[in-house]
Order: sequence, then structure tokens, then C-alpha cells
Amino acid sequence: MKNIVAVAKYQLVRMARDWRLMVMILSQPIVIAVVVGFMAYQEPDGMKIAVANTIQSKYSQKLVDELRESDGLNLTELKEGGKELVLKNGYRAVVIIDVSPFENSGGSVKVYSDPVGGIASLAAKEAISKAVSTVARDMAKEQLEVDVNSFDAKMRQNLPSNIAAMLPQVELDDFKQTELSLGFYDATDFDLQHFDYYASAIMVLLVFLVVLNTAGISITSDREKGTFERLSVTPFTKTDIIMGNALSQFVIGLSVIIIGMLTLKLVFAISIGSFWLLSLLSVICVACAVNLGLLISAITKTVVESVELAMYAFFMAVLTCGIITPSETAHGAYLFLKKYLPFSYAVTASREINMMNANWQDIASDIYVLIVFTVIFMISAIWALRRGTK
Amino acid sequence: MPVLEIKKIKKFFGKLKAVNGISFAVDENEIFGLLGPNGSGKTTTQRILTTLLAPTSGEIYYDNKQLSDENANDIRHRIGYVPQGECLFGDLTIEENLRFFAAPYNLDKNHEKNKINELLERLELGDRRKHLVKNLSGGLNKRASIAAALLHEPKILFLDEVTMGLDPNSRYHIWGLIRELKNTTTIIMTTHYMDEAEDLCDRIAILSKGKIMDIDNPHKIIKRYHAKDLNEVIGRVIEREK
Ligand SMILES: Nc1ncnc2c1ncn2[C@@H]1O[C@H](COP(=O)(O)OP(=O)(O)O)[C@@H](O)[C@H]1O
Ligand SMILES: [Mg+2]
Repeated sequence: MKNIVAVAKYQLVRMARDWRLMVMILSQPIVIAVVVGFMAYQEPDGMKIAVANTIQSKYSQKLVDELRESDGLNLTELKEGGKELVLKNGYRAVVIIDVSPFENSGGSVKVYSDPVGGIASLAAKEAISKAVSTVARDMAKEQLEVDVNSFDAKMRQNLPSNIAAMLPQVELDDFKQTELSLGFYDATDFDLQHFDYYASAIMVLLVFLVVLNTAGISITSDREKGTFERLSVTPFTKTDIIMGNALSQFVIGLSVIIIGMLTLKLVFAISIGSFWLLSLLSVICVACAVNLGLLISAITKTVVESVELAMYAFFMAVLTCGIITPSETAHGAYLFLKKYLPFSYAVTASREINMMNANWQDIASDIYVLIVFTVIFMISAIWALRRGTK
Repeated sequence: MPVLEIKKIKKFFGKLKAVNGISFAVDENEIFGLLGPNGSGKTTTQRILTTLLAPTSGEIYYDNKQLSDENANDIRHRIGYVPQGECLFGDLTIEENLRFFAAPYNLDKNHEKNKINELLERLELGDRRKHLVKNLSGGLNKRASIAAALLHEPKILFLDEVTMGLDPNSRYHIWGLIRELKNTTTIIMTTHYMDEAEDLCDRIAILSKGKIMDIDNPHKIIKRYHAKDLNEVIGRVIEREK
């Protein structure tokens, strides 16, 4: 234990003396959190949408008007349209109204949207859905009125006029007042905006980014300088070296996540859920990242190799952590990767805490999995480390 | 009884035979020199003896006990090493480096403090103790490295080209220190300075291409070759090899 502390202490002193590195590491969570915060307050706006109203009927015109009124849409009217316009002209979506007129029997609205437009495409589709549902509702109501009135007229025609006069007048006001509205809301207890979903996940990724690099080069840089060879002649064991480095890297990683989360919380008031669970999760995420970083350092020979492998692991983290596709929808080989890499567990747990106000039971299994990964990484790092000269 | 004995040590890097079957024994309090041109296998031999490299084949005995993975850490308690290149942490001060390298030997706190002060005095580093190692001159850096290797009073000290590139003053300083250490320590050193080898070493081994060409007291070797100094001997040995 004394040896571990000695390794950790002097590693930290060395890193702290490199003030340029320190500024880079510690400013990262602040800057990234601020950028994430800005994104969080950035509701999609001014989304370019094109509409081609090829039939010019009453309802098609109504849909165009409805789209023009929609919040956040920037509408362009075209004579005719095709899906190629989406990519060519940078529209988030192109709405094509064609086939049969709306007058009697419905019609056809086609929406071609930008598949990689992310949040903006989603929001555009939401707005279009709302507009279509509004028009469809009005159409249904008017159609109903027309149908009922014609039925009424036909019936009166076929009845003797004295009986027809006894029939009450059909009253449609009740139907007309029936409201149908389509709304899209977040399925959480908080008043979240689009990017809140990403905020905590981005902080988890940031820890991996920073720590995989600093821990990744920790041993290889000593190897290149020649200090590791000298260290290998002392009775410091491989465990002392790995655990000592882990401890010092842990302090760095924890500082990063604390600074990042505090910035999100204090500057942007982003919801963080249970403080204690988030702290626990942060500690475990950092430990996991640190030990993966040290494993990288143990199996590489040069700093360039370590950085290369650290970025490789980081990219795997981005792809498999669930920030791009939610974990539930993964299947096949992709599901396999998610399951057998730690990143998705970290992101799932952090989202549950932040957005669902999860309690210990909800995230316990994720935490256990992360602990198992951490231990595996640490043991592998100790095992893979080679003393002396490579 | 030899404190260190090696038998038929070989170390191959792929096809390169860096050390090709060398054997020798070193007695207590002896200064044993490894001489030879660049690439003759001096550093590789020292790395094998200091547990940094595993030999391809051969046996190493410390106090008649064979070096193995199991007892390597015990051996590390008994040896000190000053490698050829820089080996201290540049971002730490001399004193911090010494404290760090003292940590794994579990010295008594007071003893550790006294030892560090003593070594700082002995190597004339006292007024530089708070200086970062990366800002030191070559000579001071070497002296600090030597201090770091002596913290635990090793039984055997390995010095790899310890006076390389130093000014004459620093060299004489280190010579004096080596002579002093001889009373308590066995020293295995490499050098390219023949005067140094003649002056300091009780015995030398002349290496060429990973093999020992000759091994004896430097003065006896000079006599045997009817040469005027070691330089001439080495020159002839290498010539003969070709
Ligand atoms: N890690 C290594 N991998 C490959 N070759 C090496 C390695 N270390 C040393 N060598 C080679 O082994 C030979 C002996 O090197 P070395 O022991 O450093 O020589 P010396 O110290 O006598 O100058 C040299 O040819 C050197 O290039
Ligand atoms: Mg050498």
C-alpha cells in the first residue's frame, strides 16, 4: 500500500508540474460542458422544409397554410418535388401532396426526410405530423357534416313531407367541437430539452477520452524516457506500478467529471438526478476508464502506439455506448459489442440517474457490470505489464 | 565465494546475437569492468544481470542462488543500477527523486531521511536538492542518478558508462566515489575510457560481438600482450576478431 501511494503521489506531482497539460485536461470538461449546455438550449429552429402542392385543392392548401404556421419550420413552396431535393437543396424534409384530391376521399401526403438530419429531422417530422393531423381532423369533420346532411336530405326526400317535417333538424355542433390534437412530449419527470439526453452521456465519454489518453501513455512515456527501466530495477512490484498509476490517474479523471458535471449543473441547471448515485457512478466510470487506459499502456511499446490504441478504444466507446442508437434497439453483432464492452452500461446508468431519477435498484446491475470490467482491466494490465526493457 | 556468477549467458534479438555465451564470476568488493566497442553487448549483459531482460539461455547466481522469477524481487533489494541514459524523473526535484526511489525499500523513516541527506552531501548535491532534474547539467544528473542507486546500500552496484560525456572534474569526482564504495560494495561497470578501467578495475572482461575475448587484471593483460596500455590491447583484440 505504501508503495502504491508513493507511485501515485509522485506521478501526480509530475503531472501537476506540467501546467500546460493540466490546463488542457481541466479546461476540457468546462468547455465541453458549456458547448453541451448551449446545445441543450438550442431547440431546433428554422428547419428548411419544402412542400410541393401538386393538386391545389382546398385541403392541400390548408395543409400548406398549416405548415407555414408551424413553429420552427422555414417553408418553401414548390411547383413539384421529389426526394432528390432533400439532399440537393439541404431541406430537412420535402412534403409532396398528390394523387387524389382531398375533397372526397382523403389523399396522399408523402414526406421525404433527411436520414442523417438528427434532431432537426426528427423535429421537422414532428411538426409535419402535427400539421397533417390538424388538416385530417378538419377534413374528417367537414366530411362528416357533408355526409350527414346528404343523408338527412335523402331521407326527407323519400318520406312524406308531413313526416319529414316532424323530424328534428340534425345538429352537428357537438361533433364540430370535438378536438383531436397530436402532441409530442418527453417521457420523463423533468422538463427536458433535446440535448439533456446527451449531456450526462457526453460527460461519461469525456472522462473516457481524457483518461484513456493520460493513463494510456503513463507507462509508455516512462518507458521511452528510460525511467521505467530504472523503476524496474527497484523492488516495486507490477501491482505497485499499475495500482499506483491507477490511483493518480483516478484523481485526474475524477476532477474532470466533477468539473464537467458541476458546470452543467451550475451554469445550465441540467437535471442530474440523485447526487449520490451519480457520484458513485462517476467514481466507477473513472476507475473503469483508468484501468482500461493502463491496460493499453501495458500492452503498447511506444507513446504513439498508446495514443493510437486509446483513440481506437474511445471510438469504440462512442459507437457502442448507446448515444447514437439506444441500447434496446441493438441486435446481432452490434448487440454483442455493446454487451461485451463496458461503455453502454456507463451511459445507460448515467441517463437513468439523470433523466429517470433512478434509484439504486434501477442501476445496480449496470454498476456491477462496470465493476467487473474494471477488475478485469486491472488484472489484465498487471498481468500484461512487462518490467524492464522491451 | 563469488557474489555473482554467470554461466553461458546468451541473449539473441531475432538473428542478432547480442550476448553469445559469456561466463564469469565476480568476488565480493571487487570492481569488475566490462570493456568493448559499441554494440559488443555490455549494456545487454548488465540488463540481464539487473533482472531487466531475461536471457535466451544461461544461468545467473547471486550468492550461489540461481536468479529466477520467484527470487528476482529479493535480488532487486540487493542491487543498484545506474543505466547508460537518463533515468530520473525530470519533473521531480533531486530530493523528490531520491524519496521516490527510496520508497520500495521500506527504510525506516529517519534512516531514509539521514541517508538522503548523507548522499546529497557526499555527491555534492546539497544546494541543488530542490532543483528539477530536467534542468541539471549532465554531471549533476549523473551524480543524482548514482545517489538514487545507493539509497538502499546495495551489495552490488552496476554502472553503465557512468562517466560518459562528463567534464574531467566530474569524472574525477565519480572516480573518488567508486574507490570509496569499494570498501562496502561490489561494482560491475562498463566504460569506454581505458585510463578509468586501468585505474579502477581489479579485473576486466574484454567483450567483442557478445563474446568474452579475455578476462584478467588490466595490468596483467597489458603485460601479457606486451602492449603499452589497454587501448592497444583492445585494438589488437578487435583486429584479431576481424
Ligand atoms: N532491445 C533490443 N532489441 C534489438 N537489438 C538490441 C536490443 N538491445 C540491444 N540490441 C543490440 O544488441 C547489440 C548489443 O547492444 P548493447 O548491449 O547495447 O551494446 P553495448 O552496450 O556494448 O554498446 C547491439 O547490436 C544492439 O543494437
Ligand atoms: Mg551500452
